Amino acid sequence: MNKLILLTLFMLGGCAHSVHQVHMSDFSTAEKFTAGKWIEAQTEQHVIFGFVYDTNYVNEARTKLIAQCPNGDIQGVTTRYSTSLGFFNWHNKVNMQGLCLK
Amino acid sequence: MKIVLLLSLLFTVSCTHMASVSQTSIPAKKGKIVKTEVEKNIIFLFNFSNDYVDEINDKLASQCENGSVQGVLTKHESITYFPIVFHKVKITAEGYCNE
Amino acid sequence: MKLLLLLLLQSCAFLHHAQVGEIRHKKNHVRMPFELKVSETGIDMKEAADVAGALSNGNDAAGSAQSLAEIVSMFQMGPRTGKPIYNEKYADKLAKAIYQKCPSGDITGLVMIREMASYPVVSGEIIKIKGYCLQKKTKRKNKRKS
Repeated sequence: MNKLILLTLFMLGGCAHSVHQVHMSDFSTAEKFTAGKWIEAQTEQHVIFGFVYDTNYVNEARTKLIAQCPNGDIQGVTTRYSTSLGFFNWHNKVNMQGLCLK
Repeated sequence: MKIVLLLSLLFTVSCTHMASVSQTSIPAKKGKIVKTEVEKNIIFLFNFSNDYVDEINDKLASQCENGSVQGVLTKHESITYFPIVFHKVKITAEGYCNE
Repeated sequence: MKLLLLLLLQSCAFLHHAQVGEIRHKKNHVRMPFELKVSETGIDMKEAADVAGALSNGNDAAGSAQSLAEIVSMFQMGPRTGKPIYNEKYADKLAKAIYQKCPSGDITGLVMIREMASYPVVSGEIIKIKGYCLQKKTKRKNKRKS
């Protein structure tokens, strides 16, 4: 029984996340949901012992999103910034979603 | 155990930490990229004004006087050079100037 | 015990982030308000151990629970906003959900709030969106029965 509790606790400790922020851009073109295609891009940064010197992965997420919709408007861009927690290391993640209108 | 936790706390606050990020809608027409940043050095965590952030709008707009800046990516970072003693807060904004 | 129950029933609301978007008006359109809210349960292992310790009146079990929580918390290092959660994708369907609320896509006045309803041990990690869907005014026709 104790082993089971211990295992559960370690599992809870090992896959924990923290969502810092969710931001959503405006919908300025007033297009219907069915008019476009949903696109998504995610990049992450592995941090060991807290040593990290840049935030370029954010720009990479944006580049990856634009690459999926090069000649269109991307509306309602939802940006999620979160961290997957770990043992003396963690992953900072940026996830971007949007509606590609061509 | 307490020393390990204290050390891990120090490591967590060191170097670059991103406080927030936002991306506005991205236009189909992508003009030249305009980018600007504002920053403030903070010693011993003493900070009495955040007015430096207000400049960012004008600084970005001045690079695109005859058009509109769209698809703006804004990052708010905190760079720690020495925990508690000295750190910098930086706001970066980057977008497309469409004329 | 009563004091503990009183503490357990307490909650606090923390605002982590707020955002306001563009506000548009259109002629012959009405603004229909909508609201969406998603929440995920956060768990603080350290607080869980403290509560377990308080309930067991300081016996050995309390000590071992606290040590265990300290070990588990070592696997939860990194920058945190609120209490740790176990599903980071809970807010990913929000954008699509907005379109379901407003299929025309004529959305304005978006207010987005990232907040936490904090209780001892657990929390509600909330993301809330409020906005307006612009809809065309419908003309009322008074048909007279002849």
